[in-house]
Amino acid sequence: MNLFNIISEIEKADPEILDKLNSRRDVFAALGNMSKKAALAAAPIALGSVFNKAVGQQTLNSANAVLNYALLLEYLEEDFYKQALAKTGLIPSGAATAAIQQIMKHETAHVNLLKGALSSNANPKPKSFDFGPAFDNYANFLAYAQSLEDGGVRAYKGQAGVIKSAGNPNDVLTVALQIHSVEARHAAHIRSMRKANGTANNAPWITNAEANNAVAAIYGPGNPTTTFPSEENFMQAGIDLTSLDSSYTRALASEAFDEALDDTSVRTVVGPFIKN
Amino acid sequence: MSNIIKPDDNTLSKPLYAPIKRRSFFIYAGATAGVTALALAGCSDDSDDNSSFIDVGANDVGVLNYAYALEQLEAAFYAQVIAGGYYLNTASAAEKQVFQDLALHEKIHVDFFRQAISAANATPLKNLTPDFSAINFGERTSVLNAAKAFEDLGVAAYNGAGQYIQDASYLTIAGKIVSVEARHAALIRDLITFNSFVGDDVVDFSTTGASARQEKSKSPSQVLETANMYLADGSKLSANSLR
Repeated sequence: MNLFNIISEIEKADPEILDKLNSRRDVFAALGNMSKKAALAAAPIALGSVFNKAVGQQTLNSANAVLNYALLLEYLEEDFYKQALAKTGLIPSGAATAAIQQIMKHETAHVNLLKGALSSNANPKPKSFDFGPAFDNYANFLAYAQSLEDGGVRAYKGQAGVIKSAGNPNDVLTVALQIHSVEARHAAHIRSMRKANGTANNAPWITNAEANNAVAAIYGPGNPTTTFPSEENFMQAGIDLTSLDSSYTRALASEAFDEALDDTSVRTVVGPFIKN
Repeated sequence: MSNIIKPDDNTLSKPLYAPIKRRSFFIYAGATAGVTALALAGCSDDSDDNSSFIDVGANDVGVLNYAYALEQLEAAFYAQVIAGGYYLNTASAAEKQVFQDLALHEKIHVDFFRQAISAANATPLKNLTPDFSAINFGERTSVLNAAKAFEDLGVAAYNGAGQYIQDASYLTIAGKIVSVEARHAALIRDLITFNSFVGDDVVDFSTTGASARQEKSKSPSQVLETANMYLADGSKLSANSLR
């Protein structure tokens, strides 16, 4: 993975991208205190969190645009699991493989139904996906899987209001909600698999904005942060949840509600995985 | 006392016939009052056919009260779980932690909705009185199967009610909660049978068609038909305007 290629690719898409950052140094500062291998592994992630603050926002304004965005994410997830299952020895046989096979089948079905719903308006599948070091070992695989599933949950949630504003044609909203909760079940199970593997002491739900070595930007704030706060948020509909009872810590309040994320922030994280 | 709750996937969709211990007849005195509010009470076996239903109301406030009711039921259930024999005598430390977390998450949801409904200048539903006499709180299987049924019901309820919400910010709030309920459901299912986090009873397992591998949602009337089995007379609900 070549860091400079990533920056130059993003520059092609957005010539002003470097002006939107405080400085190029921000990019490297974000990578600064990691080992070389960890830095390479986390490059798209760290870049994501830097760009995120600069350009994140909602850009979708029609039901079809939302469905195509969902289709892209489902293509990405499906391909991620397909590549993982194809790599011999990566995922332990037995329960772990069975779980991943089942999750992949769901993603395939989601791809098919979104393609069906979009019909001739469906965007083509990207040429390929490159998940970098995600398949180097089982721990990496699980960390990336958790990031994609938790990120998927935030991404769908972020579009519910857009679908509503677009008039909810053909009750696309219910379809999105019904996919959204399946993604949340996937996320919970992957998180349990990480815990069982001893690589992350996390619960099936998200405590504060703890990434536990998954992609940090997936748990961080979107843009604007008032609409898309980080997963550590404990204010809901103007109500400070910790004020409702003395036993409600910030951690518990953050666990009880998941957060939404704008599409640009999501694309910033997953964009480097997509090769067109 | 065997077979208190059937360990199948339709546990809550069927009437429960099991004999009931007199000491199981607890009336839970409000979801936020905590476990100390449990009171031993007498009970009539005769269902009261004249009992009136409380309607959750119309529009966004109706959906908020509908959600508030379901959260009350879940919170009351977990409050009884952590005061019950299985939790106190048998559960592992890890399972105790799970039930404590779930109890608090649901209680936060309850308190949030009561506050949010008041903030919308509307009246929250009263504190509902549950009837969990069909659940054996001393037995792991009964507790976990009931937890699974309540969590799956919650997810299906939120998914089915999203379309009735007019205000986009309330819709996002519902989305923020339903994914946490889905995480709960997945965990409870995994505790019952590892890898059962998405069973074919909650997801349409066809691979083609408009609902392939989506979670099955339920309409408010379908949800309340089940929920009412766990609510005492005088606390049973209808949602006549949410359809």
